[in-house]
Amino acid sequence: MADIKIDIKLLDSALKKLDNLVSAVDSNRKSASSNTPISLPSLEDGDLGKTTKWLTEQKPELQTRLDLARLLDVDGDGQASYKVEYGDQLWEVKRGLSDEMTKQLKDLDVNSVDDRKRAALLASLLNRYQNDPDIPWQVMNGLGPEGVTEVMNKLRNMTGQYGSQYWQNSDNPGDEHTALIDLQEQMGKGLAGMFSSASVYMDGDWGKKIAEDPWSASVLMRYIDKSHKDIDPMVFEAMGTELKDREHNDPMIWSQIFNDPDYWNFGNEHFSELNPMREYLNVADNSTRDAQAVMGNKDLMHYFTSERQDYDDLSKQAGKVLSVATIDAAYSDNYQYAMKAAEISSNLVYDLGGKSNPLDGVKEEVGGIIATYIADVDRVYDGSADGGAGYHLWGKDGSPYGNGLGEDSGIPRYGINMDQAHLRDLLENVGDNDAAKSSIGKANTLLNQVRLDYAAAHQGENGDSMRKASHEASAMTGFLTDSLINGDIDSERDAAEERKKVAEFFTAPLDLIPTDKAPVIGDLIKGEVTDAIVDGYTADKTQDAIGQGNDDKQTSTNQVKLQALYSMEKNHLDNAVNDWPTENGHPKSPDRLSNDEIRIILEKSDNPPGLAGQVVDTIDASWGEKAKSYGDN
Amino acid sequence: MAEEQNAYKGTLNNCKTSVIPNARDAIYHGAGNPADSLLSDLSSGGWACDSATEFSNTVRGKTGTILGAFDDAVSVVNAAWSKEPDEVPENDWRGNAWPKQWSMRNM
Repeated sequence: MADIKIDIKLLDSALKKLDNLVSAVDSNRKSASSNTPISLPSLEDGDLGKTTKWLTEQKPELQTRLDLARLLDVDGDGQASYKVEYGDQLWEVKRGLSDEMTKQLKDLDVNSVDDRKRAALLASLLNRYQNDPDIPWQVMNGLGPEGVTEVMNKLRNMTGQYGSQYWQNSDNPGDEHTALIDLQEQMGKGLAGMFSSASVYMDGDWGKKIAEDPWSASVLMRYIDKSHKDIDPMVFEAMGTELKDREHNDPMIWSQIFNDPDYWNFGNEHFSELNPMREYLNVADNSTRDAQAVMGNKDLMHYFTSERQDYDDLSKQAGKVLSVATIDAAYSDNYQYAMKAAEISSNLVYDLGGKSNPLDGVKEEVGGIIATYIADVDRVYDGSADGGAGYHLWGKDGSPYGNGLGEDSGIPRYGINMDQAHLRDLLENVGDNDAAKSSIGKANTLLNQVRLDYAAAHQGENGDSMRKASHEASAMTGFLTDSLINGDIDSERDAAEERKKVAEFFTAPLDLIPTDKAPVIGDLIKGEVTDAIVDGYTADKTQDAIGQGNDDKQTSTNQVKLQALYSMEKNHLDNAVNDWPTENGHPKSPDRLSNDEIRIILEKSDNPPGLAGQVVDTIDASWGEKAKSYGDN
Repeated sequence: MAEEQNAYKGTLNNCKTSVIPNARDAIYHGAGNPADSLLSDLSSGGWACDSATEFSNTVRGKTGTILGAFDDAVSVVNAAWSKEPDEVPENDWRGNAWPKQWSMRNM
């Protein structure tokens, strides 16, 4: 055991000189190089630059010892000493610093200007070392969850009605009070940063215990959110479960618990309507791992997307979290995120497509999920079932890509398991949301175009190709249109009116589908979903001419017919229209056609001969195949 | 055949006699090690122990190369300068055109 003595002023001076030296060398070597017309290898990054980089890396050796000495210099004489066992290695200095920070946090008691200044030094160190690989956990472990919440409450009391009023008797009460608030702010930021960094070493019990003091948890999460950090998923999930159990589906409980004004301010943050769940969900969308921690827990997912009383309108934020966990993560290069996104999405279909209904705030995202996994809708709309929630890897046994799609198509690598019944119920539950309808409708139209293009390209090899694809495109469109009908329909006449409204959402920019190899539609679907969720439903509705069908299904079938005939035209197959309108030398896609052009094409496709006739007839016959019957019930 | 002054050589001369030495002096003017002062702060009590001595020795070794790097740069420029003729053919890039070209290097 040895005593290491530090003269704070001299060590501080040495550290500043090290900083200045690095800065002077870097600026002057760069200046000399840029003002010389030939290369100067000895001054470049690979030579002298390496020396300055090394010197910079040595700063913690001095900074950490200086910080420990400052903390230890309680009497302010500028001298400090600390004991070491292993030769004054940096790791043991860090441990000493962590221990001293922990001790001073536990002993925190601000009753004078000097106390406040000492505490401000401590706060600055919490912030300086919040991202250190070692110190945050050493401090958090030293405090324990109860210790963390105890410090938070001490900090709150400093400016509260029951706290020390020393500041009122200081030389300048106004300034001192401001300094106290700043102390809260810096302490809050520092502790939150340390909690975030250290959470990787914590277990679920830590999260539970932190959340057992929902006020402290709220403040910590506010600072974590503001610094765009997150919390280890296991800890975060446990926090959510604890807060959910405490809330017990009564969001009003928080205003009852936190009715004391002392709870309403901390540092520069205001919490007039303190709601731990809001703070929790605000952190949850900061990272995929936290969003998936929440939505990957079936109870929490059900609570936030369906069960929770939505007086505080928090379901909108829950929708954002759902989006990060599923729609965004579905396309992630990180296979674990993509897999989890599929698993969560499948669970959601079975939950919200079962006995539960989605809250209004998540309907857009639910629509976005269905659109994202439109290739799986294609697998099950006809009644196929996967036999329970789960996910699958596209392209593997049992999940071959269809319609010419492949790994390069940009659709999520992992698909979702579901069945027709749950899917239909889920669609009915989001049918009153235009953004959801828009996402699903556009994804369906894009997939159908891929399907029809692929069939048209292979008609020569398989004479039934176009008829089969037309049947599938029309039947799936009919299924989706019919399922998205809003509200309780009790007659075919009402259903017809609603079907026509829904069908108007089924347009998409078809001319943008690249088809060099496999058709690339993933980015297009993702873009349409993002537009619908971010901007709300603002997309172009079906061209007037498509919507002028005589009966309820004709708006849908017209769209599919145009797509099928367009595919045939592109592939030079026998078509109903001899002079399909062109643009830049290529056939115009249906979404680019004018109303007059659409009208002419639809008139000519009324009863055409040959393959076009078969296709058109198939589309008419197939549309209602998976539709429901709305009898007078 | 008309000739022009080798302005490029003049620039090299300025670099070896002024630009690089001035940069060197801006870091540390005098003999010794640029880190002498900070190392003195440590050994005077800022941080004095076996670990500190080891640390200081390593720093001294690294910082001892700093000024030499600038001296090496002067040698490189001097070698290039010595190969340049005093005059160059008319319209040579190193002649009258050079000052304008050089002044635009950072634009």
